[in-house]
Amino acid sequence: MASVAVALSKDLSNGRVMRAIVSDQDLVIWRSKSGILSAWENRCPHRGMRLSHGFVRGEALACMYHGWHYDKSATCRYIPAHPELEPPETIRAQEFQSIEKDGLIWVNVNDKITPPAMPEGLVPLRSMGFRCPTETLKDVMSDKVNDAEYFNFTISKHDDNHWVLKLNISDIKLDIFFQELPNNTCKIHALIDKDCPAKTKKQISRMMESWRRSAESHYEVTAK
Amino acid sequence: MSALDHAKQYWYPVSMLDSIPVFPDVKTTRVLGMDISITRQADNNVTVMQGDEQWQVQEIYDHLWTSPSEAPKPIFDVPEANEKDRRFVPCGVVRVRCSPLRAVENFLDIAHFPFVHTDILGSEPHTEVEPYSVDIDADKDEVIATKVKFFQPQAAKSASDGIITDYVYRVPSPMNAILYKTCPTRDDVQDVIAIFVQPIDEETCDVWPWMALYDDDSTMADMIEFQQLIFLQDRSILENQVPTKLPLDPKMEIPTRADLTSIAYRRWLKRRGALYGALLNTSDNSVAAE
Repeated sequence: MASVAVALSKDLSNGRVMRAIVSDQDLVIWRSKSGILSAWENRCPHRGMRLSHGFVRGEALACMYHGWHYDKSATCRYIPAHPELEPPETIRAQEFQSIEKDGLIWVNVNDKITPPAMPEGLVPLRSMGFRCPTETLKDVMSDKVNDAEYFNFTISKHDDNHWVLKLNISDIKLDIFFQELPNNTCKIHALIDKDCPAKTKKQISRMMESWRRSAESHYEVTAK
Repeated sequence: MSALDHAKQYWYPVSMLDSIPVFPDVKTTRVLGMDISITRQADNNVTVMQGDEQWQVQEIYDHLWTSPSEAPKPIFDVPEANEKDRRFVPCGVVRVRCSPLRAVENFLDIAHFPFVHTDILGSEPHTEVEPYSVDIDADKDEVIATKVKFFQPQAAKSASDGIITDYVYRVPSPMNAILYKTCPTRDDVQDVIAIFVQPIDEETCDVWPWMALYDDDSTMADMIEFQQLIFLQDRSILENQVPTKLPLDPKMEIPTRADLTSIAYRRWLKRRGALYGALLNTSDNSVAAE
């Protein structure tokens, strides 16, 4: 199982917590006040509460249920019901490998993390969720290479989960990372040439929204 | 005996008494995965039907109770239900997507008050849980927790200031729990709050909170609203515990001293084979995302 892009770095600011899912593994992704990133199983070892509902206290993540604190090593350091107690080192959340590179947050739930080599000069554009599987979305994108309403583009497939779209009107490149999710949903994370004008970025964003409308309605029809 | 057969021996709440539809209207609901229909007949008797089969009923603690068994175990006793100067408050129903056993366990837990019921039943920095006692009452075979104490900013609708609240907890049957707590307005009596849990199936339940209070001032609507708020806060936890069923293998979730009641409850369930809504082995521990 390869490393998977789960979010744009800019969408997880310091002190924030989010949920992500990679290959059916429920994850909490969070960033400490000073900016340290962690990706753990989304489950407090105490009573099974999803840690993604928790809150950041300085350099620790606190579970919403009983306020247990876990530090960046995923070790429990504080149990509010017993303020004087030093928790045993064995109380730990399950850690996964994560890394930030080129404006993306990468996670690998099976293996050592190896983010793909990326072209220079890209900046984050946006993430977007879809109520359809990646296959449906990919079909729609492939159908829309000559979309009169937006841009003509050519697709080159870096790998299954990383497509590069070259807009024909200028030499602008759009890198799309697909993230398959449970219940026939998916996300994409888009990076774009740093020199792309703001106006074009806006249009590309509209184009992505049109993919979403088409893909979701197409999936709704075919699923029935 | 299977988990389902064990669960069939008990009585379950399925409606408040004041909201049972009169024939030909019926209420349909589920108990232990079985569809039932409820109606009050012209002769004032209530019938509960599961297909062609008629289930036993009884009307007690302001609720209608039913059982799939032809010879259910006697329903537990709440002596305070006979104290005529209490106000009896059935609080309606809260649907929760969790095991009925998770709902009961959460009701027995005090350490979450400052985090889930912030500034009502608890507040930081008053998070410490002092040692308390847990026993199994040998006569009644109930879990009993005593000498439980906790600082509460607003212990009840009738409380005006923070107080140290004393609690006693009883678990008289696997899906019902009762607490006795300091009455904010009187020293000589305790308020009674219970949850009666209707197991829709192993991973869904309807919780029927019920109170028997000494509170002459609050309106019924205020008291119900207060209890509903508490339960909606609890629901945000209960629907996010993984796995949905209650794990009985002590290796699966790590307790501390504050969890003595929960530990006793889990052992008591396991010993009596009350496994409907429970997970016995780690191998059943499906923590995959939904």
